[in-house]
Amino acid sequence: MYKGGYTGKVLRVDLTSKTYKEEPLPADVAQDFIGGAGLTVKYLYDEVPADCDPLGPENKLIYAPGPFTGTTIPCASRMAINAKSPATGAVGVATTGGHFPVEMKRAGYDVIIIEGKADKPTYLWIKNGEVKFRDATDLWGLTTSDTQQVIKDELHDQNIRISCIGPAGEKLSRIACIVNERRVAGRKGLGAVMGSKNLKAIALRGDQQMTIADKEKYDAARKRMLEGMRKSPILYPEFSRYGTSTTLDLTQALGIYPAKNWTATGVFTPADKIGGYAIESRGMGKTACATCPVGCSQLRLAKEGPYMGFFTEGPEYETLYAFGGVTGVDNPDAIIACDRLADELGLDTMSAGVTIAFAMECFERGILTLEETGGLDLHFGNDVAMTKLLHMMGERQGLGDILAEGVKRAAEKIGRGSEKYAMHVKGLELPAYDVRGAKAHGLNYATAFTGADHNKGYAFQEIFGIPIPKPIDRLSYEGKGWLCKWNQDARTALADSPTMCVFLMDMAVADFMFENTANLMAGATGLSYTPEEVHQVGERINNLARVFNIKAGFTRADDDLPERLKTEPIPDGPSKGELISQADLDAMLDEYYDARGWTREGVPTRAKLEELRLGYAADALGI
Amino acid sequence: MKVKVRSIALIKSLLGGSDLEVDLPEGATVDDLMARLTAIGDPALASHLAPPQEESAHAPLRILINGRDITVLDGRRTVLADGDDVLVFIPIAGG
Repeated sequence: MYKGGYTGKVLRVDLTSKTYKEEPLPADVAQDFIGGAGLTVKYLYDEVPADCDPLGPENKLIYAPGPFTGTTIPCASRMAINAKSPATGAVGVATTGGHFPVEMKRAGYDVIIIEGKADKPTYLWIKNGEVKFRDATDLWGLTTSDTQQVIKDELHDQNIRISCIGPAGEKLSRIACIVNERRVAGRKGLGAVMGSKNLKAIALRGDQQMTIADKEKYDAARKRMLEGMRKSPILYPEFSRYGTSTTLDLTQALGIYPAKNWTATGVFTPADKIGGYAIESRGMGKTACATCPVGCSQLRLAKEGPYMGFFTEGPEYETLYAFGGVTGVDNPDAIIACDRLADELGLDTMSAGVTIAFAMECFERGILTLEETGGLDLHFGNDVAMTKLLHMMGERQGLGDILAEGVKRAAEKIGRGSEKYAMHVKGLELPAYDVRGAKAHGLNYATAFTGADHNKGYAFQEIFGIPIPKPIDRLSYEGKGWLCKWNQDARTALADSPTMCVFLMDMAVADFMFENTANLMAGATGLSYTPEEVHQVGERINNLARVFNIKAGFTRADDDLPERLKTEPIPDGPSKGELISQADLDAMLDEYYDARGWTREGVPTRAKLEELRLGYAADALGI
Repeated sequence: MKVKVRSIALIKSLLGGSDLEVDLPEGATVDDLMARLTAIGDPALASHLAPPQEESAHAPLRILINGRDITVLDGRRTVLADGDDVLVFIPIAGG
């Protein structure tokens, strides 16, 4: 049984009946799934019908920080939110940082499960074990900043932490996100799930302190982690100063920075205009999530020109791609403005940018006419048109109404051959790495249980050259099935579940990453794991999520990449000529399924599921 | 033979801010190239381009030849060829 780290309580809220209750967090569930993403996958699997309508009342919205959150372990104010995704129809885990995760633990909960649907716009006010269902009619339509400020004013407490949606979530955009402070659980359309429940926000406040199970072990483990952070040649000298933005300079130099809807990778070279070093002049300091001494979040201001005055926390690397490279825009101030605008509307920057880039290619190819765009000249690089279209998507106006559905559904609606320009896997728009030049990263896009999600199995060996568990050639195919599994399980177990900022995994504790989590778990919670057992927790979560997806109708055929990546080589630059052909993808998939102990159809075997204490999932599959 | 040298951020500025073309004798290795760069660039380059003192997950310098990390080639003993594209930078992470 856990003796610290956890609050031990799950809060279940039914919006339909306006009731709530507390339940204990079972010890075996904590041991097997740790927290965060792991717990949300477990509760989703157990309680949400895999075939349900993601925007119907049967879907549930599940929040979970981890056992590290709320302790003094650095960089642990992270949280998973999960539901069946309206974007993909699969498991929809997204993660966020900021201050809300710690406040949720302080309010007393390891997990909050939101069920049903409110009869009118509502927000939840959670404090001291009490949940109030408050009228949000006057908040409906407000941006995310205004929503948070009005709630704080209304409750007469400026220290409340709030998780909320903007207009996009209210209007059920399948690329809508959930925002807390200026941090975002961005992907998989979870904002639409919140909107479908007539839930505008969750506000909470608490003062509970986390118990530490074994102070001696905890202090020793924490000290070792802090030493790893201090010794890192990247974390403080570089990452603390620039955040994720300099990754653009790297991927551009590697020839894997996607541009112009993935037609110009390696050719269009905007690093000198929008790369991390180039935009340093827009810097206005930085900020940090709770308990984080690094502070990678850069604050930036558009200081001149038509976007002057726009201020944002970001743009992160992915947003520099979404409103930069992939749309062909090289105006950093436009990117700053769109980053802020997307956060205020409650749209995922990544999905929004890739969907706009799709519309731009359709326009350039004559598939979309000037009449259909409402007079917008959607040529690549037109930042003014991009900004207008983003706003139209948030408010679902004109062409924006179609694009607010995300690129997969937008292409299906537009038709006329546009589907081949829709860059997504399973309905989730592609992140900012041209995986034709990073094969394991590509295999992860194809197989991650949330769709094309760089955060599920990030191949840091290929992108950053970190030789853990061994040096990897980014351009070779051999061993990539094994590596993809290794990464997916590691990331899930080490970052998304305990929960800990993923950046520490490769920058600070790479040499002892599994041991680090095992030691911290022993100290904080009293739960015992070997490093191998920690890794296996990630495997367990990936398997259970896979079974949910199979029950939802997914097959090997969905473990795919867009046609362009399989047939069009990268045209120029250091990764020139690279692609992932269907034959190469098939070979990697076979190796991946073998490494996972799944059939060649991508179905977990009973033996594998029982080994992971998931026999009930084998029963559900009838195998 | 001639090799092209590209770099990012600090290393780039210490090398004069632009890409270089470096003449080397046949059979020259990455180590030879680093020595040449140390000789022609800012004196501050020496500490950055020197071989690492100890094995670590984070090498102090990342070097790629034609897009491939030298850790999957022969490390700093990798022999260069005419026309090679060499990318040199201090490690970056965090996408």
